[in-house]
Amino acid sequence: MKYVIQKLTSFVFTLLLISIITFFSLNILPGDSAVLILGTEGDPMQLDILREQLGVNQHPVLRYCKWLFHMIKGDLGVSVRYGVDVASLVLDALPVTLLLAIMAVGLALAISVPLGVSCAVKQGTLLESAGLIITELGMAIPAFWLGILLINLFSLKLNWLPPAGYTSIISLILPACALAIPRAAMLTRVVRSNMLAALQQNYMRTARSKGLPQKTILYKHALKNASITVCSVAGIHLTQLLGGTIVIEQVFSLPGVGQLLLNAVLHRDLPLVQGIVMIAACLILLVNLIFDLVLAVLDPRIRFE
Amino acid sequence: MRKNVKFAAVIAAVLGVLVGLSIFNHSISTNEREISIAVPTDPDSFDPTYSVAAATAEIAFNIYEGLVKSTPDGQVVGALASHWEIDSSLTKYTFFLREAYFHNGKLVTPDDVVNSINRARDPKISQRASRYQAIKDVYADEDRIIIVLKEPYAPLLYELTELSAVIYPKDADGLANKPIGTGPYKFVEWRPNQYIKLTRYAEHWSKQSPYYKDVYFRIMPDTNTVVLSIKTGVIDLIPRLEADYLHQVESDAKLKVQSAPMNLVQILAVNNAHPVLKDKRVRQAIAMAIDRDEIIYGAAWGQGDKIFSGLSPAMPEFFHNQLEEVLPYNPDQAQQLLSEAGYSDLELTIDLPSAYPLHVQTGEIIADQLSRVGINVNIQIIEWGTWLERVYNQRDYELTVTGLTGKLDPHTILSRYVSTEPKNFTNFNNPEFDQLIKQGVGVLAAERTQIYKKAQEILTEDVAGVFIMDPKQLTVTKNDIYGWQNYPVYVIDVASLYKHK
Repeated sequence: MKYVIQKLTSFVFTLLLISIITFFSLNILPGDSAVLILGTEGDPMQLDILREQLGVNQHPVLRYCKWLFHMIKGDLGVSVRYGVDVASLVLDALPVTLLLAIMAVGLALAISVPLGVSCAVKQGTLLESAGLIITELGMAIPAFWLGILLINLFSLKLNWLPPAGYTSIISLILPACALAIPRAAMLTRVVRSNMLAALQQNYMRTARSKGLPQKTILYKHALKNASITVCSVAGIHLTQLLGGTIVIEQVFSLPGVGQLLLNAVLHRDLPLVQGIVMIAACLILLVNLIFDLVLAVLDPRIRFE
Repeated sequence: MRKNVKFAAVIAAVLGVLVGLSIFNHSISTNEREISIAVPTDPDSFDPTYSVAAATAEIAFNIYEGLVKSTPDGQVVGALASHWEIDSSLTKYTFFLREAYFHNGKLVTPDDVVNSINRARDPKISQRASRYQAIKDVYADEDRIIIVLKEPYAPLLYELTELSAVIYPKDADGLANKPIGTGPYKFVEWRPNQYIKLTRYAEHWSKQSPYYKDVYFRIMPDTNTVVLSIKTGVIDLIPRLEADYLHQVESDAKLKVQSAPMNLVQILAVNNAHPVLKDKRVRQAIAMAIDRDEIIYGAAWGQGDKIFSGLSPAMPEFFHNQLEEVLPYNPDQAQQLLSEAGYSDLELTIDLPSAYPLHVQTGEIIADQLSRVGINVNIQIIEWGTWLERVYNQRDYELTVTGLTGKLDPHTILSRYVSTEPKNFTNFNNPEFDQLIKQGVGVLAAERTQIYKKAQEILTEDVAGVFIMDPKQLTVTKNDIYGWQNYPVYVIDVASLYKHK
């Protein structure tokens, strides 16, 4: 119980700190939303009126306090850029990003675990060298470029998948691949090195001497031990992706959180930026918690601490 | 053996899914009467008093109408007003209202018109009120709308074609994301970062039914993706393609490209108030060091028309076409002017807005060209918000490159360089020019044209900035789409498009 309360307080303070940092760093940027709305057609009279209407001429501390007060009441405000509720905008974009992140990490794991295990087992063979070269390549390719290549092949040449936009989960296959492949390459390395380390442990010899089948040894004993690091790394990737995958969303014209955040920052849309950062931060803290629990299941030592 | 079977099963499953997908993809064969148009960003707001973005205006053109509207060749024709009369003092405009219905089924009343125009000129309500400050009074007399001006103001009709002066129902609420107008298309849905959907409005006063029933403006920020999407057929039309991507669509036999002047004035703005740049000789030296051909070739792949003053050739009536020889490209003379002014190794900074690759590339070439006459230029690439605040609003810069969007009327474009004008970010100060712009609004026809031609001469000779090019607007459509109309203002006229096999 004490542990939970401790976690919750630190959770609230982290959120508060994040909100203060985003608010004031956005305030440091030159130009405010009024300037960006009016562009090169604006004149000072109009600018003053608009600043008044948007409330951006008030002192930043006052504005922050107001925002905080409303947020506590559950009101994230209205976006300056889109003129609609921040909450509804973020909730619209969130499923896309969530789904994309989960698909990407899932795919990355699905590729990297078998590949990493084979590389570790077939150490010194042609298979391992081939695997290493492929992972090297995979890590070197930037996701956005891979995205364009994938569109070229699967949309333009083969016409199997839509090139851009979001209609259903099918629209997410290509972007998920583009995000997953570099990550899979990295994870393959992690799986391989951890498997190698695990295979050299004493309990491996014990398992072999007990006469267990190779498959059980590999997947039940070695992989389970290797998977602790793999899980933490996958967790880091997932949290990274949850914050929005700006570049990939841009390439595939996906209406995700990253795209929304980029537009919000470019337009100095303070309520929207704050709203996105808050919700993303909550999610990331939540995912961290889940992965802590998963790790505890995998590693009894964590449970007992 | 068992392993191989499993492996084969996995491969078969994957193949099955892919084949399924491909069938699925082909089964959503696009509706004949549906068109998808790629646009780079979301509109800002469909509220005419609030919206200032070109991205909104080009879509809203299909939804809203004003008393008058512009034609592709830059003329003004009646929209909700069937015709109008101007009295001899040039201060009283009488518009005759047509019988038309809003998308919500209600009749357009003179009251709606008066309300819309009064709101448009109220600085507390409208972002564009400064355009309508010449109006003294607006009132209705039966089906006539009378606009009384404080003094003659020739650009009025052009200003009334703008989105900021369109007519909407007096009791309308929440136009920002539910616009109600009288245009050939009515608004259906706006999903931020995805699309805006419009559908044909059968009750339009013109009684004409556009070919396309449903229209999607798809928000696609990445140009690479836009190009790939039109090649795969997911979208049908790219209104404005950057010249860098032209070669990718030109070679495609299924696509066609149309080009026309964009009516955008690309300018190397020179801060006329800067201690060094205050010297006219320095400004003229800069002007003579610029080789426009090299810029158009290097930054725009040859897709641009050279300009020498503040108006684009997209405005044939007012465009001054004999300014090329005023300050021609001549590096030797530029150097001479600099030494006359007493500068041997001048150092200047050029601020370039990163959001606009064309301006950044132009600025880089300019920096090189200026270095050839002994001006050392530091390139500083800054984000758009920063550019607007520091360069445009605070006028804290030395050199910069930007594009000024064209309007239908020369006054609206050229009044920017009047010394007292808040939008005069070049700090240009020439009393004769100020006088001309003042005169220009009080007269009509040929006399007016002459005034603006003279004003353009001054802009060039006194170097408000170095006017570089009007980039070509490159419109890409599928081969079977016809009817694209290029306007001198930001407009996507969907009603004129049709398909023909």
